[in-house]
Formats: sequence, C-alpha cells, structure tokens
Amino acid sequence: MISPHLALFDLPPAFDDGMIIGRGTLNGQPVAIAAQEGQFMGGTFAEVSGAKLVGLLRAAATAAGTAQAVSTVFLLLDTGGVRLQEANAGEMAVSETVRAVLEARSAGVPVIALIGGRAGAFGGGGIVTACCSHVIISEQGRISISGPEVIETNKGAEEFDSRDRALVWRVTGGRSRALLGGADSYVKGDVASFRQAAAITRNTLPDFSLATLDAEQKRLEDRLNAYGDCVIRPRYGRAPVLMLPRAYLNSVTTLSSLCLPRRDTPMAPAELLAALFPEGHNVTPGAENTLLGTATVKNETVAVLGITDATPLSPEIAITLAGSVLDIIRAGQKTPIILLIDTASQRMTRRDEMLGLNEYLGHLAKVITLAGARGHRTVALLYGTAAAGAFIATALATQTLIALDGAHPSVMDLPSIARVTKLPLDVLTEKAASTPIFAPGVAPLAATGAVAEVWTAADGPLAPRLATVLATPATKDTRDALGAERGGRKQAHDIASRVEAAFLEATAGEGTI
Amino acid sequence: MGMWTKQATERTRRLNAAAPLTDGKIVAKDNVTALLERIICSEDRVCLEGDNQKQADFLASCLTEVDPGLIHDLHIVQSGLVLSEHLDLFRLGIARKLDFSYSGPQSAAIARALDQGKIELGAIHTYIELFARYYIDLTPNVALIAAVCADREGNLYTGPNTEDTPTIVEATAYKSGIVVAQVNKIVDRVPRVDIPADQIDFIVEAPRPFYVEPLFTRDPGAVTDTQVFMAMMALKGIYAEYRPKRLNHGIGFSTAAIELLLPTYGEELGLRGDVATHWALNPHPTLIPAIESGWVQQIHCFGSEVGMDAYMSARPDVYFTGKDGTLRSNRLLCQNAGLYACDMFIGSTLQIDLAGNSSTVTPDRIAGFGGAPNMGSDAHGRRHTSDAWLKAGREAAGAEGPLVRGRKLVVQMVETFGDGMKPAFVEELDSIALARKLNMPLAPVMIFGDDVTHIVTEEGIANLLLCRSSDDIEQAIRGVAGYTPVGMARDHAKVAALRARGIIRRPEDLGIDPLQANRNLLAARSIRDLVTWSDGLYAPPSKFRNW
Amino acid sequence: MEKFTISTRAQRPLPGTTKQAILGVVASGNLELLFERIGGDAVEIDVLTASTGYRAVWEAVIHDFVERTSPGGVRITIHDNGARPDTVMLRLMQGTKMLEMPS
Repeated sequence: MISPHLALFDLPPAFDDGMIIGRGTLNGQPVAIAAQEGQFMGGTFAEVSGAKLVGLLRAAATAAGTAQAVSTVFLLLDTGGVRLQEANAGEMAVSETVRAVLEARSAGVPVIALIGGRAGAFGGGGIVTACCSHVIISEQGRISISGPEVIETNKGAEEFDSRDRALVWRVTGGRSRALLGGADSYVKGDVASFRQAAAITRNTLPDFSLATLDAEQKRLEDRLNAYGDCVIRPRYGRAPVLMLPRAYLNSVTTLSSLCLPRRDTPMAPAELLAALFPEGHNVTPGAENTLLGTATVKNETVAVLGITDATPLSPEIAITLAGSVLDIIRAGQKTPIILLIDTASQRMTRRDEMLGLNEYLGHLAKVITLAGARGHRTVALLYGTAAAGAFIATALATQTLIALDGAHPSVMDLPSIARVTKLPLDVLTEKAASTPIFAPGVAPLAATGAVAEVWTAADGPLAPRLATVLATPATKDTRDALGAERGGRKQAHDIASRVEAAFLEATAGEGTI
Repeated sequence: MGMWTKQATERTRRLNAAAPLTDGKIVAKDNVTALLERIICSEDRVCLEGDNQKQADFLASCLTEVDPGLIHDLHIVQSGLVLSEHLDLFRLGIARKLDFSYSGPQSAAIARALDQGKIELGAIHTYIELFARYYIDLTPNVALIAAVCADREGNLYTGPNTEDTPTIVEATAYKSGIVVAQVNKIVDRVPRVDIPADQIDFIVEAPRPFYVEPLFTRDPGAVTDTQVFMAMMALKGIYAEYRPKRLNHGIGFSTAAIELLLPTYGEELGLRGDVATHWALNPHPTLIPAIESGWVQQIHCFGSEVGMDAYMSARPDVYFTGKDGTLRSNRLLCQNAGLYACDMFIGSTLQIDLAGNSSTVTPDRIAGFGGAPNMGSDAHGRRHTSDAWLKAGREAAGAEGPLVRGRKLVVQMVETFGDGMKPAFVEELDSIALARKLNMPLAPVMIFGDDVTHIVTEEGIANLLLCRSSDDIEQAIRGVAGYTPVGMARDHAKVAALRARGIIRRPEDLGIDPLQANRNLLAARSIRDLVTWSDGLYAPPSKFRNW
Repeated sequence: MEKFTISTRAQRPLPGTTKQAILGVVASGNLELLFERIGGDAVEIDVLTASTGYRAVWEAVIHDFVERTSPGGVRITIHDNGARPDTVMLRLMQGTKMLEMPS
C-alpha cells in the first residue's frame, strides 16, 4: 500500500508507506504491533500509514473478548509528526489514531508506546504517545510537539538552540521525560530491554476512565504548580532556570499567530455567543483568553468552553479547559459540550516543551473524547484559526466539527510547507488547486472529512442549526468515510476497513516479537 | 663590535620597549595589542600558534587590532590557518606572506585571498616539513602560543593539547626571538612543566579558554553499510594479508568503521594481538572499543581530542601521560613516528587520478596537507624491517633478497562517489587546474601515486604493488572506480586479467558475505555506545550527544 | 522522478527456495528493494528513482549485478531515493543472498 500523494511532489513511495502492522506473541500472549520507519519521510503520519495504524487499533478494540483478541497493542513510534506533503490527511490520521487508541483502551486493551528511535515522537506523535496507557522510552528517545528546529525557526536560537544537542535531550529526551512523568518506563534502549519492559508493564495499566483522567488532571496541575513558573533562561551562563513571573511568558509568546495569517476576521466572541444562543447564556471570559459558562438551547442547558483571540494553546489553557470538561462529566448530567475555537497552534517555547506540552494537549484530547464516550454530545464550532497540535487537541477531539465564517483551520501555512518541501510557493499553490490533501483552509479540511458542516451567516441564523446538530446523536468516528465520500481522502477509510477485517479474520498469530 | 649579536641586541631593544606595559612577564589582557606593537616589527616572521586543534585565538584577535600603519607585511609561518582572524591579518595588510600546512575551515577563504593577490604564498607544507623549516630558513622572530596555565615565573602547562608548542618555542626562543603565551589561567604551581619559564617572555591570562576543535570525533551512528563493507574488505584483504602491527589511520568515516570492526569482524578473523597493536594516532573515540577489547598496546598522539582526557588519563598503559596523569601529545614527534615507525597508513581522500595521485584540493578550496603526506609516504631512510614492510617491498619488486628493501603500506580508502555525487576518480586532479591558475610550479598533491600501495573502494581492492606498468596501474584504478566516468571507461578484458592476477580483488574473491555488511557489525553504533565502552570516562562534546 | 524497467536474462536460475525478500528503506541516499521469484532465467527490474537522468548508470550496475550473481527467475522492484550506485549494488547483492538462503 503506497502513498498516492508523493508522486505529486516527485517523491518516491515506500511499499509499506513507512508503517508495518501485524500480530505476534510476546511471552506466549497474542499482541498487536505497529512499527513506524523513522527514516522514510521522517517517519510521518499520512493517509496510508495512518489508516493502517487506525485500522489495527480499531480491530484491537473490536476483537476484545473474541477469539481474535490481543492482550496489548504496541506502538513503536518513530516520527517527526504529520507528513506535510499530505498534511490534512496526516492531521486526520493523528486525530483518528488518538480516537482509536482511546477506543482500544475503553475496550480494555492497553496501548503501550515504545519510543527509542532516532526520529523520536514529535508533532502529532507526541500527542498520540501521551494518549497511550503506558510509555516506554530509552535514553535516546525523545518526545515533544514542536521540534527544536521549529522553535528555533520561529523564536530564534536564544529560545532554543537546536544544534545544542545536550540541551535538546535535556528538554525532550528520555531521561527528562521519565523524571518528569511524561514516560513511565525508562530502558537501556536495546531491543531486549524494550521487550522486557513491554512484557512486565502491560498487566498493570490504567483503564480509560474518569478516575484515571481525574488523577491525570491532578498530576499535570501539580506539575504546573511546582515547575510552571520556571522560565528557561537564554543560554548565557550555566544556570538552567530562572524564576520569572508568569505574566512575562504571556507577553513573549504571540509569534505563532503571526505565522498563521487569518483569511477573514473572525466574529467577536460576544457577537458569536449572541448569535448561537438567543435563548440566553452566561458565558464569560476566563483566564488567558478562555471562555466558560452555560447556555440554553431549546430549553436544555449546554456547557460552553472556548479559546479566543487566536491564542496559542499553552499547558495552562489546556489544563484549564480539561479541568472544566472533567467537572462537567463528574456532574453526571450528560450535558452537551460546545467548544468555541479560535486558537493558533500549540505555543512554541522551550519551557512548554520541557513541561511536557504533549501531555497537556493529549490530556485535553482525552477528556473531550471521554465526555463523548460517556454520553455528552461534543461539538466544536471553529470560528477562527486552529493549527497543528492545537487543532488536534481541541476541535478535532470533538464528535462534530463545524466551521463558521472566519474559520481557518490548518496544519501548517503554505509558506512554511514550501520551506520544508523546498518547493516554490507558486508551484505549491498550483498543486493545492489540484488536491485538498495538504492545503490549509476550510474547504480542503472539509473534503478530508475533518469538518462535518460549514455554516455561513448568509445561509440564515446559527441557533436552529446548532439545535439540529445537538439533537442528532453522534456516531463513532466516521470521518474517514466522510473523507472518502467527499473525495478528499479516497483511501483512508478503505484501508482501515480492510486492515480491520483482515485482523479479525486472522487466526492467532504464530510469530513472536 | 656587536656584529655577531644583532639579533640579541634587537631582542633586548624590543623587550625594553615593552617593559612599561608589563608586570614582570605578566601582561594584562587589555595591554596585549600595545605589547604586540612594541615587540613585533614589519616584515617579521610570526608564528601565531594554530594547528588543526588548539588555537591561540585571543592573541590572534589582538594581532588583528594592531595599527597596520605601524606593523605590516608580516610573514606568517604557522601550521594551521583556521580562524577567520588569520585571514583578517592579510585582508588588513598586517601580513603579506604565508607559509603554512593546513587550513580546514578557511580553505575557501584562502583560495579567494590567493586569487585576489592578498596573500603571497610561500609554500604549502606538511607539518613535519614546516617544523623542519622553522630551524633552517623560516625561524620565527615572534611566536604567539597557547597553553592551559602558567605559573608566575612563566613555566607552562600545555596539557593534553601540547601539540606544536615545544617545537615552535624551541625554534623561537633559542634564536633570539620573543615568545608570548596566552594561558587559560595563571596559577601558583603548574601540574607539570611542559615548557620551562626561561623560554617564555610574556604570559597573558586570556578572557576565554583557548578554542579546541573536536576534529577526530566520528559518530558511529553516521557510519553507513557501505563503509562497513569497505572496512571488511580492508580488514580481510589488507590487515589479514600483511598483518601490520604499527600504523596510522586517517580521520574519515571509512577508517572509523575499521576501528569499530576490530573487536567484531577483526576478532572473527583472528587478528587480535597480531595486527594494529601500536599506533601513531590522535585520540579517536572510535578506537575505544578496540582498546577496551585488548587490541591496542600503545598509542602516541599528535594532539588531543575534546572529551577524551579523562579516558586517556585512566589508560596510561596505552597513552603517553605525564607525572600529573594527563596526556602528553607532540605533533612533531608523532609525525616523525608516523613517517619512520609505522608499517601502514590508511586514509581517505577526495580525488584520485589514473596514476594514483590523490588530492583534497578543489578549484575553490585549498585545504592544505596537514600530516597525511608524511603518514602516506614511504620513508626512504628507513632501515629497520618488519614482516609487513618486507612483504610489501617484495611484492613491489617481484623479488626477494638482501637488497630488496621494504615498502610502507599506503592505502587509500575512497567511496567512488563523494558528497553530491562527485566522483572520487578523475582523469585529471583539480589541483592541476589550480596550480595553473595560481602559477604554482608544483601542483598540491596529497599523496603521490608512487607511494600508494592499495586503493580500497566498495567495488574491491586494487593492489598497485603488483602492477608492472603504468597501464596496469591505470586499469587497476579504473577497475575499482565503480560507476564513475573513469570506472565506466575501463577495458573489461584488462580488468578481468588483473583480477586473475590478484591485482584486483572483489568482495566475493575475498569471501565476504554482503549480508554481514551491516551497521550491526559495528562494536559501537552510537556515541552513547562509546561512552558505555569507556566506562563513562569519555565525555563527548554536546554536538555529538543524543541523550 | 523517473520510471523504467530493465529486462534481461541470467545464465542460470538463482538457487535457494526463499520466495520473497524485502530490504532497504526509502531514505535519502538509500533505496528499498522487493525481490520475488517468477521462475525461469529472466530477470525483471522495475526502477522508480527520484534522480532523473541516470538510466545508463542503472543499466551498467544491473548488467554487472546479473553477471556477478546470475539471479535468474527473479523480479526486483526498486524505490530509490538517490542512492549511489555502490549502495544499489550492495543492496542487490544482499537481496540475492536473502533469496538464496533456505526458507
């Protein structure tokens, strides 16, 4: 199964698109395994490679309790994140993988990430890792969202000198992750050590439940309270940390919004709230450009959360929103949850990555997914920008994503894609006209199945449309089918279904790992 | 009359002029430029210590700040021209004439400066050759050197990176010259005296420790399967055949691969103890696994290597160390050892022509020679024998007997295509075009073909010792030149005949299994593995870490 | 990118019983190869390469490879990302060895 998109960029494909999946036994117990090839296209999430992984995870969930059941799924991730040549399909692959990981965990099948390759687990790979039941890492392994080079490009070498490799590993490396709690097992790094840790840990893993996520919320809040005020000083001198007030941070981290030019001016939050909830609401601005409150739709109370002003998603915002969602779940009313989204990408600072931004974003995605699984209708209304990891952790984690006027979802803007793919911008723009697979914007992402509906003000008032969506029960994750139907992602659904079917037919594997 | 003491008189005059700026031998860092203006005169020969590793970088930057109206047309005589300040001297008109050995990172800038007529080039030397001329006709008037620390008398500790310092100081101090040392620290007592105080005139505590380039660190993680394959061929086709005990390795990845295969493939071939026991070699981190596996008896070093100090101090049976416990390196003596006391040199190059001449010069880069031509040449003054040396000599002569002298094995190991698919085999060396352009009477050649005994590529080994004509040599070279234009133009029948004569040997002739040619055969596959092999003693520089 | 097929014949069928082998990776300067037995003494090599304009070199490499190993009855599919000829030759020899091994 080779990628149908690489030829567009004059790039050779790989027979397996950089992802090998299969079944095996570990110490006599059947397991499912997915292994990513970090050397092919940087070990990326893309349409084919992602669908193989998603199919495997869905199969593991479906097979639970049957003769084909596996005891564990092992993800041997080695990735720089989303493959930019098929950015939209890759972004969806990450989001669907997150969903499928949590589905498997809900079905009682633990998913264990093994991170020890040269590429590490960056970008969406960092978020997927954070969603697993358990993370095993070696000293050479790395987990992060924005890579050091990306942060350096955006913020300068004073923020993060990507050539200082000892520094890179101090921030993202296995030892730091294990010490801070971003990884659960720390191994020497050879195959035997990974195998041993995998065999030992799989029996004692947390299930995917409210209790587990409550504990996670507390763990991540405690970490922010303990270390959140540490600002990593520019690299002069040897002292690694310097205490600075949090306000300072907020003043220096607005650059990622510059990278994502808006196409239209989004509606002001107050205006949007009035249009959505004519029956009334008590939604008020919270800290750091968040929104929180309730509103009434057809006499029913709905919970409303939001991010405004294209604010980059920080650990603080993620943990605040996640805490609110957990409160709503704990209240037990199955209240629908509406997310109003105008964020940038994840915030790009060395401090945030050091603190484990991938865990905060992963946690937010997990609680939103848990809410959906526990009977809350979850709907995201994208009225501004959302990019990269922030998009995955917020809007793409809900059951239904609706794009409004002013919405500009993206994985990466075209100039940046041009830089990475070394293609002239005009060539890239021309290619974008022929395929929705990589270009930013509502239409391409709708074509790939990410966006369920696009609402423009010209088509009439928003409130009745929202009421209709809330009244429609959510199905399981069918975004790949939608992408196939709309022609933006022709293969993902088919591949995932075939993998699932093949897995469920297969007799217990005879191979061992 | 003083007719025989002009140099001493001049030295005294300069020292007196400098006296108001100093406190005994100690000079404050802010006074250094003024000091240099008083002890250096236009047209002096100046050695600004800098080789391929350590640099008197603070003194270099002070020298660029002297008034070019006062001091100009200096004749720079130093082994390494590697800092941008070195080039600035010529750009500013402070210096005009240059004799050197190695340029490394400044190779493109030197080529430009030569082209623009900013530099009047004396010659490009090998290290040992330039050092020799320090004592004949290029004796420095002033030497500006670097040391780790000094005591108040001026005794210097040059430490693991002693390198060129004793040679430069000896030539300058004993010929009425003036020696200024930058030190990282002035201390009450130096750990050991590498240079005695009576050879030193001034010391200055530099604002930063002198710069050292980690030039010999090769990350095992970057060794390719092809390099493993070539290293297997070299071990089986050359090491196992000639059994050279005393040798030098170049600094490329292919020789790093050999070092990393000694404890695995070398062990499989049963070579331990019989081969590669004594070395003239910089402290290559990639040799650590072989040392730890008991292959190596002793190593003398040209210089040191960043991160290796603690390891070497803990292995004094292998390395030369002082009473203080740290390494003592000496470039002159080690080069001499490489020339006279080694049976084999093996290293890589950028270009090889049809006669086996090799060069690292490209049209816009003059990297210089460093030590490779000494390592990679047969010493005609050698009189002691060894089995490896005699075997090579007999193969070359096609005869044995009391008057058949031996040959040093000089092995060139090259991948047929270099960076950017640039062929390593060429009809004519780029250095010939360069010599034409710059009117040089002799093209810069790293190793002349008549010194080369073997060429190893991924296609096989060419044994030039067994060639009996220039046509044999040409076809032997074409026969291992792969799919470069030179290789494609081979005469297939002649190459087949050379293979039948054993002059060309393919991997299959040597019984090498290509499936074994895999990175898994390396004794260490990452810098981290090297640290583990060293028992945690090797402390690699940050840029090589992945943990 | 450039795509072409080179068909030739080997002196004899490749010994061994392994039916299929895959090796290498489509990384920069590297390639992946799929070896499959098709029977007889034909050799079919499908090349998809990121570097255009090197067909003559591919033909020379494959000619020498067939001469050196006689891989009769084998189809090889190659995805190349700018591997140097020596790397191509090494991988071809390695894949042949893998097929020659008892399955």
